[in-house]
Amino acid sequence: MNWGGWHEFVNMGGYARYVWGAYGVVALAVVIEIVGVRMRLARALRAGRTRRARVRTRQ
Amino acid sequence: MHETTSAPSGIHLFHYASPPEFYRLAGKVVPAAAAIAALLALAGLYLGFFVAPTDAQQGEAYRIMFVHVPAAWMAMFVYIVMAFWAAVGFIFNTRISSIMASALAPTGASMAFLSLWTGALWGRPAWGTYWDWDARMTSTLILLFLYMGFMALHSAIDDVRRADKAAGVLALVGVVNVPIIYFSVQWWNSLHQGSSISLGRAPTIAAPMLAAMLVMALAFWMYCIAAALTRARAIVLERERGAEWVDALAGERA
Repeated sequence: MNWGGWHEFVNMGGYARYVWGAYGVVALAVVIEIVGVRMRLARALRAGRTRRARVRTRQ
Repeated sequence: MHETTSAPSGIHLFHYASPPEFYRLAGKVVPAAAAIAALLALAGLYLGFFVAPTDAQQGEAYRIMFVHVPAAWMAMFVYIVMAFWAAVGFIFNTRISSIMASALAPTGASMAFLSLWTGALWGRPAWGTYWDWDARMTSTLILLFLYMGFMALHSAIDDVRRADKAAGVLALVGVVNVPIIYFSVQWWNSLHQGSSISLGRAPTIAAPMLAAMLVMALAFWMYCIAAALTRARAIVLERERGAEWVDALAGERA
């Protein structure tokens, strides 16, 4: 255990802005990519669904 | 005779080159890879922040290493895999291979960006500067530009198969940059430190630090697999638009 308490952990021995600046942007990039690819996949599935519905009504 | 005996394994391999089979298989791999990535990330963060001790020289700033090194490794590794699939797509004319290359590019670009970003934030406390036109940093920046160039070139060409070919050539030419990044710290006198671990040599960092870094590297690897395969599934559906199996799939989900 490296930290005497929550405050010490957040403070990162005075390097908080570097450490959390690095980890924060990594987390942000990961979240943005996950949301992005999942939305893209959902959109592609939805497009297939509307086409299928259109074909059905035509028949 | 030889053809007939070797046929089954060949068929098996190319089986997954069929878009619906690839879509299904990738759909099974993604949740597993994502779950493993999440578990490894939790374990790696625990090791990195609570087990690995404070560094004698760099204090707590060195903890950036646990995301910096995995991101840098994945930026290079994803590029090699992307170029490999681009080459396979080129030689065998398999659509899924080129789709894999396209699906890997944004993930690789993200990794290259993160290695530069975390490197800058580590460089400031460690060396007193965010950036230097040093061999390793410059070649990593070129790697980011190669990923972006691949994506830009691909999206600039309307005919998707021609785009695969053109971007594939770019990916293959750019491979030469990967060994340059990797060996840059040996070839040039560099601000960037040498690697802490390498094959055939004892690691130069403490065991808990090494463990945290390797666990995080595995987490990043699994993450890249999950992200790229999800994107690949979306690209398959986009490109196979109008195919019977895609519309049937949409019907299943509705």
